[in-house]
Amino acid sequence: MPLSGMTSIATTGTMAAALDAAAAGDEVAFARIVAAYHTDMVRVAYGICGESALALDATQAAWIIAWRKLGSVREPDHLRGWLVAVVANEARHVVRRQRPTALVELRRQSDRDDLDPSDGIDRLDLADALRRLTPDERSLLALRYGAGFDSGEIGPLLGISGSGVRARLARIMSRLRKELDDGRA
Amino acid sequence: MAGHDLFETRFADAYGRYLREAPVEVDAAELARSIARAHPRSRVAGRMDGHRRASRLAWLVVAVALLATLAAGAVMVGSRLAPAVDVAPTAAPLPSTPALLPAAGFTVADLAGTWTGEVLMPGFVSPEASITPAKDTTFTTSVTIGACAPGATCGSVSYATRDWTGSGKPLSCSGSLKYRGPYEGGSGFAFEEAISSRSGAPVGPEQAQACSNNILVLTPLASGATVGVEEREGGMAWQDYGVLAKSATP
Repeated sequence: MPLSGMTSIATTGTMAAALDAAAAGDEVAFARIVAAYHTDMVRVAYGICGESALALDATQAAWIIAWRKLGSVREPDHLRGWLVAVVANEARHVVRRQRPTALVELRRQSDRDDLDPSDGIDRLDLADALRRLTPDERSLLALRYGAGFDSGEIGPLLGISGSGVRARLARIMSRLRKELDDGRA
Repeated sequence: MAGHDLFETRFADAYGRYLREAPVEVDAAELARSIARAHPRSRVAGRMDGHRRASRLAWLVVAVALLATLAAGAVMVGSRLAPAVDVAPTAAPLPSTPALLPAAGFTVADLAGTWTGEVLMPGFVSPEASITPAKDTTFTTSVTIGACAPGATCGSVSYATRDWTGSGKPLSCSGSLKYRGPYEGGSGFAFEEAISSRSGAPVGPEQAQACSNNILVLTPLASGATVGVEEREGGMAWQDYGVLAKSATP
């Protein structure tokens, strides 16, 4: 289930042309790609890092890689998936390097100020549960529930089978269910 | 199943709100311009080509000088040696490996030796401690790497829980390492584990993963005296991360 506010630009002929031009070094075309996919990438990075500054660092690093390697994207339809995979990879690296800091940042007091009692799942509980997952587990959640990819699409991005993705997601959701849903039923 | 679907829907809603906290505003034109100017492709390529040409020339000069020195040395020294001199066999040279980690200048040969340290396997708080470690578990880890060529078994690994009170049971295992090659475009060196002996019983899926045939990734850090180690299940890093220090050289 992709986020309703996320970019869902179909890779039209126009975007394909932008990809070709950007791969050839056209800054304006690259800016069009940035405008189209930056939101998706920041949100996926945030889902993995759990902290805004780290997510922006990862996204910036991902865009630099994208600028250098856009020519390797042969199918325009694969552009969004490729970009999201790049930023997910960068976010995992960033959060591992910054791990102790990230753990502290996730517990900042402002989180408590953002609580919405009407939420089905408490925001702070959710953040705590996500913090206890590994960066790769958070990657799976971000790709599935943030970017809206299904397991068959996630598998090639991470180098594992679709069934492997499903099994891992099921295991993660089982954990989250225990942590977030116990006592409700 | 219906309960799970309901939870998944509630989770997806809450997760969506969570992700929308991320700051997404961007001046796309400015970002694209700054990246393109900080990383100009043609000039970078030109510099790289020039660098490669200079490197080749430098290596050619060094190789010619070395050959000349060897030839001169052979003429001078060879004539003085008695023909029956025993020559001790020299160690086989390290197999040539692809250039890796160009930024840091490390190759897989730099990993030769024994590396020890602690690897953290994050657990999670669960009421079911009998099947799942209730808190992080630290494994003392020792990795020995020899002369590695892609596809060759050239090392060994062993793990043992250091503080197992949190996991409930002690666990240790050991096995061999097969060098797989560079990892993620040169960010580290990947080895396939083949666990051959175990003691103790794993507690829950997390510990079971710690002693299964995972992918071990070693990444030289800074001076090369330490490596980052990641324990990866298939293409994913699920549980383990730490830093090992070189404790012995071959």
